[in-house]
Amino acid sequence: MGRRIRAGRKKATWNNWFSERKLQQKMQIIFVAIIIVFAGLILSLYQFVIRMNLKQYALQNNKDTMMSIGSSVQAKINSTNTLSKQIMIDSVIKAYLNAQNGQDILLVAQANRAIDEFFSITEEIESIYVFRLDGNYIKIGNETIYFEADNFWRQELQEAIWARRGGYMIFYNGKGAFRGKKETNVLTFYRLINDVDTQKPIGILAINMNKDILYDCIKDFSNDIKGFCFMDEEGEVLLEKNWGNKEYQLELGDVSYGQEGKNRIFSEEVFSYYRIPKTGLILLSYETIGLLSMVTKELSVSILVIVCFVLAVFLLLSYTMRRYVTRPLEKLVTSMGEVKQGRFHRVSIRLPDDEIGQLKDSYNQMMVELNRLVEELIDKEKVIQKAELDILQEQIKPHFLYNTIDMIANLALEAGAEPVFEALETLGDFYRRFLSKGSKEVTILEEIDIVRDYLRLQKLRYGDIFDDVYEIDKTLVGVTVPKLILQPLVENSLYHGIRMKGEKGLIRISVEKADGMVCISVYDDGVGMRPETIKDILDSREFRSFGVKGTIERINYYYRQNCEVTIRSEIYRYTEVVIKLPGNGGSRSRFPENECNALSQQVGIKAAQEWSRD
Amino acid sequence: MKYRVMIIDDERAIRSLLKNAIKWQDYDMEIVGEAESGIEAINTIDEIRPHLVFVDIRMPFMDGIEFSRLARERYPRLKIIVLTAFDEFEYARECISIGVSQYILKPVNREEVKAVLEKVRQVLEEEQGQEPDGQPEEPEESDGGDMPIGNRILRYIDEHYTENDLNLTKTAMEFGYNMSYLSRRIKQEMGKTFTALLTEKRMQKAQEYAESGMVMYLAAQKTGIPDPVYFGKCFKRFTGISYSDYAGRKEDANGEA
Repeated sequence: MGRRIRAGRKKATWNNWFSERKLQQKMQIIFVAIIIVFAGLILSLYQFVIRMNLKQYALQNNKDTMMSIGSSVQAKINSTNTLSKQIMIDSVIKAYLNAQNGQDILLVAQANRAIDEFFSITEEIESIYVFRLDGNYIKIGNETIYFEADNFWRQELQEAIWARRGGYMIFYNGKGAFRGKKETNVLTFYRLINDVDTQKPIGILAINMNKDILYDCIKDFSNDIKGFCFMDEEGEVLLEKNWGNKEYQLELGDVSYGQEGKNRIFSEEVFSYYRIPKTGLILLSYETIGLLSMVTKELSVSILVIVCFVLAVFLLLSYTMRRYVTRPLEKLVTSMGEVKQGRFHRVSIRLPDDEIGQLKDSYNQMMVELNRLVEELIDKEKVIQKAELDILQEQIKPHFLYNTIDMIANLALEAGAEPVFEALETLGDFYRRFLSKGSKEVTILEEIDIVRDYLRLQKLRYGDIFDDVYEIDKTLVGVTVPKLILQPLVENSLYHGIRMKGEKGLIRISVEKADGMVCISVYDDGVGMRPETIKDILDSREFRSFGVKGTIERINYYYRQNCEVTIRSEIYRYTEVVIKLPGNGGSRSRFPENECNALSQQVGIKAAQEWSRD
Repeated sequence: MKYRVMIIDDERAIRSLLKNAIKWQDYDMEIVGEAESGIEAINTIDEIRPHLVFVDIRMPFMDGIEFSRLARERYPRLKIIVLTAFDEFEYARECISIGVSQYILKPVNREEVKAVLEKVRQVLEEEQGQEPDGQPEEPEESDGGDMPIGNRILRYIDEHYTENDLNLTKTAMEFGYNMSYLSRRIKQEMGKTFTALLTEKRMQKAQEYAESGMVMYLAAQKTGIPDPVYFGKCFKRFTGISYSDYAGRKEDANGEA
């Protein structure tokens, strides 16, 4: 069970792996798989066909060979048989054999001459012996053979010869009766000699044939993969060629011929035996036929051609896929990838005018539509924003506000309420700068003026709970900064520093140059901040409506870089926020040709001096 | 020497605020006239003859810009201070090209006003030796001096009273006279100023329109005083009663008859 689950998982992993491959890789994997399967198929097909043929061929071939060898052996033996018959019917030999007792010199001489004649007309005969039953014998032949009389006359051999009743039999080295000198072994042809007239045995004929007669029969057939072996009926090996140490693995049946084929991976082994008729010899053969020997040149060429063709087809297919499917898709994907970076570009690469091209066209249409929708959305958003802004401005109505302030100021003045008049004047001043036509940037001087007005109004609200001090580097008053960066810091100082303290405090605003930077600092000697709070303000993305964090973000946005903001504080002692702005030094004059602007700056400075004295 | 100051703003409170918040005598200045609109100002400026004018940029019928252009044509040395809110600065920039001297931003801040007044006084003092506008010390015109021009002027007024920018300067240019000279001649011959003659003509016409039952603002337009408030003011000064009362009484009289 567990194993099955694991197998399932494995399959899933493989599926995942495969589906994660790129299209190109998938194609390659599939191609390789197809080629392997295809090659396997072809190989097994050939194997099958060739093997069928091979076996057929091998068996038939083997049989033919065996028969052929058998015939030639038979022929040889037949010629010896013929010779033996001639000797047997020879009258001189007959006379010699029929002579009783003793050695009639004349007869022996005559008999010797007679067999000498026979011997001289034969080849491959080593020697000829003619035995009389009384133990005498005559012989002719090469002096390379020893005769062992005891072995010859032993009962066992004699019974075998006699049992044939005149039929011949063949033994290796005469079944012990002969022994070759110097490895010269012979095949001995035995035959009982019967009197032609009486049909009574009168002697035994032994013809020793050179073993080469067998060798000659097989030498043309044997080679590296073909071996032969001759045995006599007793199983004695007479001669072998390329037989090696092969065990004979075939059961010798009663039939004269038997063969057995054995499959090897790349070859066919055939064992066979053949009882060569009328010789008493058994021929064994062993043959290995390799598959390759069956593969003809034509076949190799045709296989090669087919393989090449298949490969070519696959390569062409692969190339076509790559050229017309995967490459265009890759290009398309790369091109489309730009959308990730937020650009809704149309794809302008050249692609074939097929489904991929249509995909591109559809994609482009989609992009166009998308762009249109986005633009529409943006336009809509703009309209909404403008409407909201309009409403906001409508709500603020600076004209109405300013004129109303002036009107009330006049009422106060007419009523002799000088403080009210002054408060309204400050409020008017503050709002004029605060709104300042929605401009996002002001000079440092204007920014300071806003804070000054703001603090004056706060003083009216809360009474004399703080002093405000300004330390301004006058060369910096014209530097442009984002609007309302000081007021939130000052507000923070007032509400979270001074007011919590419960006694009179100090707010000091300073602007100075430091390392080419404009260094703006707001200091209060209020209750201070805990380090955790400072960390929260500086690090956390959201800190409850603390003016400081929002201001920092606005500054960073304005300068397109992270400005250095330091908050120094000691609990119960002080808090100081220091902002370092890039000293662009660009003094901004909103109305270059308007002397009034310069005038208002002068007024501002003068006022600053006055207030500083307070 | 006191410098004459005129304040033109359609809001009484602003005029009053300027008048009361500043100690004018500190700058050798006094408020000699006010106007509620550009139309009124352009009609009365010949009589008020200010050195310095505060003018609101936003006014109906004739805005501060238009007034300044006309006024500078007539009185090139007139000092004009424009009252404006921040978001009108682009508008106000136009004034630079037609010789507006200074700005005062609304809401009014005394420090700013004082600073501006200080500057203007310096300029005025520098020009002290020179002849003030509108009061040229020029020789009597001898040629044609004996030829009466009263009828020609009356005829000219009859033909052109519907044009709202008709005034002494324009008429003088038309007849080829020096403006002061013409003014004096008219006064001598007719016993009235040019402005009085023009207003008289317009008001007589206005009475006719009132009798025909025409609504006031149409009558104002047809008589060359497109500012109905100023028109009403003039009408009341001339006839003793308001336009609507006048029209109503005529209707009653017609009804009784």
